[in-house]
Amino acid sequence: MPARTLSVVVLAGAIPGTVSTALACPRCYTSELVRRAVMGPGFFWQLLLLSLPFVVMGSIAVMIRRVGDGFAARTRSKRWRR
Amino acid sequence: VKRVGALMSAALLLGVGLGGFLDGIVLHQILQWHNMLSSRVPPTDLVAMKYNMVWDGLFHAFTWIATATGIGALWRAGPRTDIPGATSIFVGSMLLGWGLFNLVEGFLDHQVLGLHHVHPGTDQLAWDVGFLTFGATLAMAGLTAVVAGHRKLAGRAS
Repeated sequence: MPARTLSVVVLAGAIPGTVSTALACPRCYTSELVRRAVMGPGFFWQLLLLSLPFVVMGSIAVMIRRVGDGFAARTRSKRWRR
Repeated sequence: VKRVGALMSAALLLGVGLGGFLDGIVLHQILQWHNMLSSRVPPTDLVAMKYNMVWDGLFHAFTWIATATGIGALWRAGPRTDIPGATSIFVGSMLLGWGLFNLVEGFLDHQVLGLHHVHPGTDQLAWDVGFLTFGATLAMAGLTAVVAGHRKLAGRAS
């Protein structure tokens, strides 16, 4: 099996496995309260706030990937001219 | 020069992931200076602590994704085209490590030492066995990929 296909298959298996384990956590009183509090109306807003630094850094990584090669090529050509 | 951007981008993502893990592990968990939402919900009782623990977990999920993406990007930035089947061997070995760790951790911590169980309760043995089966499946998939990679390598060498 090609490695790319294998990694997709494993990821597809791992995500439902992990999520189902997380959802099936012991139903003690505090867990019920916590789950209700976490999944309250502010959940998506807080998730957005939490993910914001990662989104910013991800965008910078994409930008560097696009700009980096051009920057390196320019630096190299300047050196050659000297 | 062509892959400088890809290399920098991969390393940046790895820095985000590893830095995030260090923050979470050292500051949130070991030193317990703060948690993800501790200024909004101070962890003064068990429910508030567990609430923050969930958000710490989500933070770690994002750092895990950044690290995994960084590893993939690093591999794509500098592929070992000189080694046939290198991607199979690399991905397979990672899966092998993940699966073997699950097996060793599951066997020692869950079965031998009894430190914790996957899902404590009446069906805890079934959950523990499920965890070990998942580990064995990952290890087998990894081993299959490693063997396939080595076959490609052997095919090129002959």
